Amino acid sequence: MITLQDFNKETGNAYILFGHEAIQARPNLDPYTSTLRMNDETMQVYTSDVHLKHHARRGIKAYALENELTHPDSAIFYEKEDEMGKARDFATRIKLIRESQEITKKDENKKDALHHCLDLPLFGYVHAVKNENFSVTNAINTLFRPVTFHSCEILSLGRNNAFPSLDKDGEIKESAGSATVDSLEYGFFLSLWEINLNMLKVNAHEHKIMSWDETKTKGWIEMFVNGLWKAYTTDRFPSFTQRSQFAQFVIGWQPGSDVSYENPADLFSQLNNKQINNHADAVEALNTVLPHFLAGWDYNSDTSFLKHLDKNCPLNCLS
Amino acid sequence: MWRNPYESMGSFSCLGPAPSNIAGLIGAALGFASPKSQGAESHDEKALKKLDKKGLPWSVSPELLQWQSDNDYHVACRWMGDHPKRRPWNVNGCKDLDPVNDNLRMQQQIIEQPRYEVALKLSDEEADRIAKALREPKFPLSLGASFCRAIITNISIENEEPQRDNWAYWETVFAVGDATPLSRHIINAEDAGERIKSDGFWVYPTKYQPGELGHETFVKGYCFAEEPEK
Repeated sequence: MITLQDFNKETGNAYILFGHEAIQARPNLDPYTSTLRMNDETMQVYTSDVHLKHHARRGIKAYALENELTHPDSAIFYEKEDEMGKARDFATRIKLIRESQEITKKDENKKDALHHCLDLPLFGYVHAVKNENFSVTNAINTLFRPVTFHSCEILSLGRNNAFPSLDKDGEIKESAGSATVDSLEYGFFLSLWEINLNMLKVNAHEHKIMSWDETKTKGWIEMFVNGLWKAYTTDRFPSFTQRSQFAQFVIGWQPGSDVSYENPADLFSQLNNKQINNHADAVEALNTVLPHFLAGWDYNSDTSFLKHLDKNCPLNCLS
Repeated sequence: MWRNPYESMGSFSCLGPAPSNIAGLIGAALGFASPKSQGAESHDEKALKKLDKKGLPWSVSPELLQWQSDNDYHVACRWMGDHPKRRPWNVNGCKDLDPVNDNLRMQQQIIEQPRYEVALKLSDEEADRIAKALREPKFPLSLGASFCRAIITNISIENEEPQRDNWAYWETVFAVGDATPLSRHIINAEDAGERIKSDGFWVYPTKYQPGELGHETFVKGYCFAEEPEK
């Protein structure tokens, strides 16, 4: 488990930099084109903030269940499908949360989901129900889109499904059963998260599961970081295209002075060899470019409250 | 992601913010919460229901409306980026959940690498207060949508009006170029039953589509509505 140093500030912004790698994977395809999202000029692959938050939610649930924090049905609000893959509507989701928390009809409150689920105080939501509507601004979000800091090699790989399907006349489709897809050979992603500490308190101060008085800022950030880490280590998504993604490092800090606002994507311009194809080269490059980047963001031993590295990730620049 | 109030799905971003968007940023920095947001310190349910009935389910912060009126909010904005580009961006934007078919997903087109310069006309004292708030915002600052976080740099207080050079300009009838509906908060929203009014367009000149000379730099960023006919 990742533990934060003592950190209970309630104003200003704090930052988390999370590094993870994807090996022979297809992270966060564009749902309309089914291709990797990338910058066509630099060949940097990126994902949406929504994608990482989806995985963070899975990890937060795993963390909550491991630590027996809450009931599995109400750990995470945004579970839009049941175990059978059937879509749930908003009202059904809220009903399930109330049942799992044994909230009786007379005790129902329009903020039951916000006060019981662990993801909503972090990522916000809109309670769009007539006569009950309210909004919760996210306290934590990626500042820039998560992206590889280097060019990536993309391969076109053939796929062969077991059986082709039939057309409406009962004839076997000529092209069915096989396809060519793009595959990311290797990518080291950096995602920079901004946490508005005041917003976190505003969203979480009445929480029934994670009492603010007991957990405060530290407890909530710890849960988020552990969730993110678990989603890319012990609780990786099992699909063929997602499971080969691994957490590498996570650091957290609250700047004490002005910062550069440098986008991790722009580290690309500082690389001598733009294309990186393996873990060792990625670590070597990060050891070169991260110190200047982090200095610009005022990350140092005085401002840092979190540092956790995978054993496989010898980033000397963070030690 | 600057949503266009004339577009029902809200999926195609305008090039730049409207005065109401910039007012929202200032309100977030100062900690003026919408009455229907978790950030509001107290929720007067009776008053909120009254607003619902008046057609204002998502009303603007009363403190922000007061601030605009008290400070005679005047604003200017210009595009500082390169050739404007929009990028397809898929958000898990479930406007609704359809248990039979599937979730409705929206493909949004966001502005790539947006950069703006914004000027506000304020008294010295208020300029100091706003500059401080923008450096240490109370709530997260966003560029029109919470997934597009804003970064505000190079805050300065000047005594001279900025030169009339490529600032967004107001066209009241129709616009050529990348135009944002000139939307402003209605100060007496409760009388009008509307929180925002769009009057013509705020045209953003770009490097490849320069603007017309001679326009006023600042526009009045708020408005009043007449009471609807009974």
